[in-house]
Amino acid sequence: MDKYILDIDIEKCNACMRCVFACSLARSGVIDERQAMIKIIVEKGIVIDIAVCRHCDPAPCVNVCEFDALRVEDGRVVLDQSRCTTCKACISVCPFGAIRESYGGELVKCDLCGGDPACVRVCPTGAIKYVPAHMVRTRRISSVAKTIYEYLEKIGGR
Amino acid sequence: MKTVIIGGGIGGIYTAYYLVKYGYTPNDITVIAAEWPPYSKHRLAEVLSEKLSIDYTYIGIYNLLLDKGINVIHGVADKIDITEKKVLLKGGSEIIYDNLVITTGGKPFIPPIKGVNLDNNMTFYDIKDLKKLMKIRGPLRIAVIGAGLVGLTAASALKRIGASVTVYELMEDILPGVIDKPLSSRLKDYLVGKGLRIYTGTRVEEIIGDHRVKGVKASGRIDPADIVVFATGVRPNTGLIKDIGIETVRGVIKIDRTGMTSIKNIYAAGDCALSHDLITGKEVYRPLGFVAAHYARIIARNIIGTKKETRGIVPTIYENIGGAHIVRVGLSLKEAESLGLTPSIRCEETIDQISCTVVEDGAPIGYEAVGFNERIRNKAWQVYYDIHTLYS
Amino acid sequence: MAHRYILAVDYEKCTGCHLCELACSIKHYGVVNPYLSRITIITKPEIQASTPVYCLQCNDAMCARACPANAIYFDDKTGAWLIDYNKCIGCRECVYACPFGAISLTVKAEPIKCDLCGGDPECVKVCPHGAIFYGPEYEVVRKLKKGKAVGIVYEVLEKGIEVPAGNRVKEAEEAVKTLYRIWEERKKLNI
Repeated sequence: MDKYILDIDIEKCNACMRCVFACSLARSGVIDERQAMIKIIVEKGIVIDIAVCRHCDPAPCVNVCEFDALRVEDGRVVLDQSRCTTCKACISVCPFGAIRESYGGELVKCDLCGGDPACVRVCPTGAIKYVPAHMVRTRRISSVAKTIYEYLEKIGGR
Repeated sequence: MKTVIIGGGIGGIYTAYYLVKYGYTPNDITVIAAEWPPYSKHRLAEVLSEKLSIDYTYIGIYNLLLDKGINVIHGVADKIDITEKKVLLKGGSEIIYDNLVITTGGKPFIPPIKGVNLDNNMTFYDIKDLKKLMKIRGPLRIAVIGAGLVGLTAASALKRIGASVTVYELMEDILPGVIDKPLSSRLKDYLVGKGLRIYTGTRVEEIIGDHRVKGVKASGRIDPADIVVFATGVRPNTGLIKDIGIETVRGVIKIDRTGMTSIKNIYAAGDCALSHDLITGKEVYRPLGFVAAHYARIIARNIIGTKKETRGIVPTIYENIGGAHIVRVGLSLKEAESLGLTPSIRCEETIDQISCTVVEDGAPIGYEAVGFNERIRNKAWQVYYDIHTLYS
Repeated sequence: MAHRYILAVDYEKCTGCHLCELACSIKHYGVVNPYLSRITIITKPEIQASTPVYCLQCNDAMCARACPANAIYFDDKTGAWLIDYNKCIGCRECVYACPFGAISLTVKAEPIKCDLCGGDPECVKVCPHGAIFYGPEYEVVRKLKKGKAVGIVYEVLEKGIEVPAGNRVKEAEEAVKTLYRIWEERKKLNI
């Protein structure tokens, strides 16, 4: 089975925050940044990072959780709120800062909305896409090829 | 086979959970809990500062365990009779066990200084303290004694609900047990900039007042205070097992790598017991939630009969104090030195993050980082993985 | 390591036949699937260009720098950056970090990159036009230079037969015209 992943192009993101609000709405029914599982980090007006779970496999967070609260379930890393005690060991080892604290110490992390991510539906610039894993490179190399072609056309080559 | 678990904290609840998960009959498990439902101490500060309901602190797993049919006795164990294999409860009843798990947890340590018995002296340890602090109204002057993780999270939470907070620390640096000098001094600068008063290297000599607290005398200076919060560490709560012959080290229950104490079929986990360090293999006292859960799983495995020995614990600590991220994986320089190693430290510093790797013989044994913006990327996983592949 | 071994492609010789892609995927997975290839040819028929995208085995590799698990390491023997799959957590950070798009993902989201076939690249052997070179750095660079020189000479000599299939039609035509002019002038001088 193809693994679907969130493919994020940070250069296309203009920090309109729609994904953040949609995520929070889908998760809890209110628009609140702290309830969202995706976070756009802006520094000096530039989007420097979009912190969202990469659904690693084998995942560091699953590895350190002693409470059986995190597990990998058909290619997704899932957090079981009822088992979590907010020991935050998972936050300490996550290389992306993708697990965040919400109200009352509750931890939130992306669950891919069960296969139809809300953030992807609302993104106006196409910075977030939900695609099969092997399609990610297609975007990367086509942007590389584009620069080469542009150069060739500019210098009048063929 | 009956299993009796004394204590309804994280260690007790997760022993019951793992027992049920690994196929133990839920009806044969009895949990003796003084406080029910179980709650997480990690959430106290958040609930306090966000002014949320107490329900947020409860660990949701207890419903699942009750549905499965485990027995919960709301009470306090008074005595353990190891010859007849039974636990006597306060109030007279008794329970027979085949396996006993002691997870009585810890109790806050209050230093013996003058005036600690006054009103408005309190700790920040359990749900009773939280309830007391939640009643606070208006701007109060609060003195927090101890700048460890508990002290600083409490201080920043109290600051957020409008109190004027002063922190006293006996050691030269804040977070003395968690991070090392270059990080803690930068963290201190950051927290002072956020409006927290922190006095390090300051010994609190006396709590001044008649019935209520009026001030704190520290290093000769007197600061007014309305409430004093002690966050001066945790001691094991092992009064129950004093006379029954279980081996202890300075009051902490000694356990082997299967979680068993010196007496067969009696196990111990959590803040009342020692744990093993993965890197040095030594026994250390780490009153942390995930250590309790780790041993809970090991004990559950051994009770159901699949032999399992732990290789030890690598501490993984994260805390957000007033917007600063503190990450610590493995050993800190000080802790490594106290365990008999000769480590060195390598630090990288940028505007918004400072991170240090503790190295022993060219191999990393620890990683610490303090970040000051919203981005909490770090290299902790690399170090954690390296430690695990090297030492186990 | 005496000399660093590199893999290089002469873009001008590449015709976009995609044989290297197939060889790569057969070598590593035993199936013919361009998605499982570590080298990818992008063809654009409108401007008759084929651009191979492959791992350049950078000296200071962004993928290795970005990897949060320290899973990408340099292999001195073959001169390749390799992925340690025991350490890899599948976070795709290397895919985003690579400026060339040389790291791709399998359907199971496992990153794959050129490992130089352990020092014996299959793509080099299969290329029908000899566009891919592998060897010590100085030798490969020499071959690339030679390739360019050969291309110019070829166009000069074969001018009368047909329009060369090179990239440099305009420049080459100019160059060839100049050369012919000089040739004619020198003939008149009768040296």
